[in-house]
Amino acid sequence: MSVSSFTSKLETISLLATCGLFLFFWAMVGEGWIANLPSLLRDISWLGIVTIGTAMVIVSGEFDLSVGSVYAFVSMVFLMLTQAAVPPVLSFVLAMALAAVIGGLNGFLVWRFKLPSLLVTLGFLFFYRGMVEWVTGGFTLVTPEALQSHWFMLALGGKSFGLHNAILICGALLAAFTFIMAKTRYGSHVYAVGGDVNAATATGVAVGGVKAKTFVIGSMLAGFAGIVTAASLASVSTTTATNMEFEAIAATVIGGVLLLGGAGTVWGALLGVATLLSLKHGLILMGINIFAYQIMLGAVLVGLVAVRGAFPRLFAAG
Amino acid sequence: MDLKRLLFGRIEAGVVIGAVLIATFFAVSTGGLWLNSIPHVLRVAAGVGIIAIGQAILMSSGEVDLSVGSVFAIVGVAFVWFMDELAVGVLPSMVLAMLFACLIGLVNGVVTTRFRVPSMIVTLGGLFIYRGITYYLTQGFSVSLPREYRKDELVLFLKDKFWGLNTTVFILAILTILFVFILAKTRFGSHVLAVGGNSDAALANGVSPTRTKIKAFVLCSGLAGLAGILVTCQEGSVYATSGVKMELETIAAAVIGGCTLRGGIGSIWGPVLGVIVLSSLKGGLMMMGAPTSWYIALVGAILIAFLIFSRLLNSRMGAIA
Repeated sequence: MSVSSFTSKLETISLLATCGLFLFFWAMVGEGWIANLPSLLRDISWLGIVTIGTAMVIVSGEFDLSVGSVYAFVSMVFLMLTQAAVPPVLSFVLAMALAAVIGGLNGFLVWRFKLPSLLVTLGFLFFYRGMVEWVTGGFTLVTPEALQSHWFMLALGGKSFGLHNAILICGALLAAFTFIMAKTRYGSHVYAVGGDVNAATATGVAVGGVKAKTFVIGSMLAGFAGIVTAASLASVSTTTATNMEFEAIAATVIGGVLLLGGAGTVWGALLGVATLLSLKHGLILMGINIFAYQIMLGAVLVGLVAVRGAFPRLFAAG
Repeated sequence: MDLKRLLFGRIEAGVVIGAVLIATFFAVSTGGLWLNSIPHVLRVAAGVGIIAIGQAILMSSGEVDLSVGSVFAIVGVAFVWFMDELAVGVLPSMVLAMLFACLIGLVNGVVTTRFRVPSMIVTLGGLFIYRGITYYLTQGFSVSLPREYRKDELVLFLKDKFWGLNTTVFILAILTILFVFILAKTRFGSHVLAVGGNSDAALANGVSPTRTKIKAFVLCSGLAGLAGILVTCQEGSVYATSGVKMELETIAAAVIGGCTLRGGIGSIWGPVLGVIVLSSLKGGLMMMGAPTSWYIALVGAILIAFLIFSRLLNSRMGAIA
């Protein structure tokens, strides 16, 4: 086991960065940092569920810029259904079906018309955000009081063993999708399609179907994360998850997924989320101006990718 | 020359048809009232239009700049800062602010080409960094032109109107003509299109993709900075949230105007017309009493409809550039 067999892994940089930040903030903040861990993990889980989908879409060689808007739109629909006295479980099923349709539409347009996914999902970013603004009228939607202690809402948004359920959900999804990407036929197809479309087509992979499925998974995970967040906070606001697409893409790239597709892992992307959010929480706990987070986020994103590009022999080139 | 090809065979066909449709629709549905708002629409479009020119050139070279909105804001803030802190007068502050904008473009270009980081990532980082610094400098509020410079001749000239149109609109018009010429008739323009079309072939023919792309990045950030300076002079102040989502608006306008993400083909007046179409849509909807949220939803719907339309058109007519 040589040094380079460790460093050449795509996920190494974000693993080192997360550990480094963890120790750094522990040293700087002390007890407060440890006490904050549960809420840090909760935030990582919310963004992490979205990022699992974003990572898969990027591995398949496409982009999804609409995740932030879908997150807000689907959770808004979910809350509106519960307000209209639809049982929570049915509301959940309907909202997830809506998310699947949204993802399917992305995939259909990208594949059927051979359109660049960056632009199609940019269009939907605007479209769903406009719908959210229109329907909410700029106000915040709140879950009906009676439903806030419903078992289903508690299962998604409550706590067990002192940890937020979101963390357990995110962990389960991470395990499931790591397995799917590494060990199933569909997972291999996603890598094949993202690596070389022509080669994948030539070997008989149904490229369109694989990409469409990935878009459906991406939108469903974004919507699901939105619902989990809404169940926990019992509200959705007009500006929920603005810029989330950028944060998810930044985390994915920091976590070692190649922007052009074909390589990277779901758990790496989740490490990227951990890197970003540790930075955010740490800076807040140290009492540093929150604006500094944006500056650091940009610098870390470009810096880590540039380091990978500058030392192609040490790190797997990005 | 076959008439159908003449009408539909250009990459700008979609945006021209869209502009005619939208203008007719609003003029008829508001009973001609909408025509009076055209100067205001153009005033709003001027700043974004100047940025769209830079975005169009960069997209023709096969790269994209997500940081233009943040650069727009930070250069406006820097311009005010130079006047406040250095007290060197309006014109020198403008020059310094422009140099700063070009420096940002240079950094974007060098990191993209030399470190082989995709431009989307570099400029996404830039989007966060420059927006963060802008928030920091303005403390989340706004900064205004220093009092002693508000009556400066240059500032008054930029705020002024001629024949009912703002100075910035004329500047947009001049820049549009200039860059249409540059892209179509100069060596740099041909190099941009060559590098965007096939960067290996360009290199084999002695055109350096690195240098051409860096120049395009500098131009793009420079124009974003210029727009920031002009709008700051025109409006008198710059906010912490000035130019948020502008990167997405300019990319949407550039695509509607005929540019592609892949590069190699490009138009300058198409994207500018695209910006005008989008801002007349905003003005027209407000006039008809529609909620502003419709605008943002419609931009999305138009972008997608346009992509499908142009794809179908291209496959029927075989139109390229």
